[in-house]
Amino acid sequence: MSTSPDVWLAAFLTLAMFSLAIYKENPVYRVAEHAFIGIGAGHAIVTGIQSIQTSGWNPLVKDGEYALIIPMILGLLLFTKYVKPVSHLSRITMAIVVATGAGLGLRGAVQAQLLNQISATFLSLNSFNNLIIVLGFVVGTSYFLFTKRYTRALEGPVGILPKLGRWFLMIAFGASFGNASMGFLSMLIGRALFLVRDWLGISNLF
Amino acid sequence: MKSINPKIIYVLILLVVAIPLVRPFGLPMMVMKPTRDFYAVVDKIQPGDTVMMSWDYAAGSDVELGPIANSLLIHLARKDAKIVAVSSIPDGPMFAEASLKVLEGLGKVYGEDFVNLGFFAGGESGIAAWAENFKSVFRADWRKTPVEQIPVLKGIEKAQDFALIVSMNTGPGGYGVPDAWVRQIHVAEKVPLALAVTAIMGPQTQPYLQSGQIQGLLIGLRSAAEYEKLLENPGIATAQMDAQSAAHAVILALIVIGNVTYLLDRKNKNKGASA
Repeated sequence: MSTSPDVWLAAFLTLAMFSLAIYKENPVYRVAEHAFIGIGAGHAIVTGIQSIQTSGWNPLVKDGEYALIIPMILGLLLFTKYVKPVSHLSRITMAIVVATGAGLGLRGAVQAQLLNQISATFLSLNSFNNLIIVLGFVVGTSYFLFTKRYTRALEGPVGILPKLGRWFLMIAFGASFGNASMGFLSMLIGRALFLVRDWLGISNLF
Repeated sequence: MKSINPKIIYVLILLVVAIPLVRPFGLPMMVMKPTRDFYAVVDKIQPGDTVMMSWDYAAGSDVELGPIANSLLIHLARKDAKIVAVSSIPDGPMFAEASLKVLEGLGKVYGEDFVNLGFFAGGESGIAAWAENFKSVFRADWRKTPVEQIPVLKGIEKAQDFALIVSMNTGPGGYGVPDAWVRQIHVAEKVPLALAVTAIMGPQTQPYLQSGQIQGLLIGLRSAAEYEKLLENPGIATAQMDAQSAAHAVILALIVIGNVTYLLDRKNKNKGASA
């Protein structure tokens, strides 16, 4: 069994978290939960300050890069949100942040998430995988045709397409859910490994 | 089955997960094509090439992405590549520091063979900014050494100076999500990009691989274990796969039992109603 206080503290916090599932909501769980959120927030603030220091404050003050005063002021304007008479000033920064984000996103979104994805479905039907991709694309898209003209066109024998599309979507959601459960299990395994190996010392795995 | 206390299932799963970690079964594992393809991409790196690795994950994803980071570092070290570590989320540099210890263990020197530049703010805007002018964003490393004094960064001015960029990504909730990396690195800069994501992110990231927008994709603990196998360096991910398989077997058994008991209940009810 470990003799390190760090490991004991981590083991205590891990067991405190497990106590919610195995027992019920309790003060020990609350302490661990609040500590986790507090440490996370504190760490993010410190890292943020460091980032401002190295990429903003130091170049401005030490290297005389005076243009950096503009983003620094814009950053400070965000805090005017908490001062009612001048709270509208924070919108200037928000507008710039949103506009820059949208502009940058759009620069690649059409190609990366639309054109390239569509062209990747233009496949020759010479393998089972390709067949599944093409079929999935066609029937999946047909499920999302809602305008009257098209829904009417999808009546009769071709009405099978959106129904098949729904099946494809369900299978895709199932795959996502399966992966999600695998991800959560991995987290549990990580903590269990910590408990049996690092804390209890009853596992000699790596 | 309907009346079973969920806490019993939680304890059962915990036990099933813990037993193989104490006494592994050594179940066989097959290496899937995406992992082999990713390995091939890294294997093409030439000695002296510079590779950027971005630790875009926090504590919740370390169990899945940490082993991937370690395996990639070992592989890149074997190829004598230079490594530049960055992070688009504030917690990332901590995990980068922990992973980079692998390189120190392999005799690589900080500053000459690898560097940790820490967190860059702005998410997608941040990526776009350093992709065009590297030193406008990164002015000092995580240990506060100015970038001009770091030998491994000599000649690095923009994204195109990297032979490969790998983002180990936790997905939504992070600042630089996989979509942002694809948009700014693959589409805008035409630099080879590879992603390592958590299992949850796998299905929605796969279309990028299939459409050839990323060079490789590793998904969760399973890919990490496969990569360790390809490296012939079994590690923490391989050790955890037995636990993963055992837990899945129990979950499948519970699903089957649940459905069978449900159908039997329904049949009995129908019989009761007709009688």
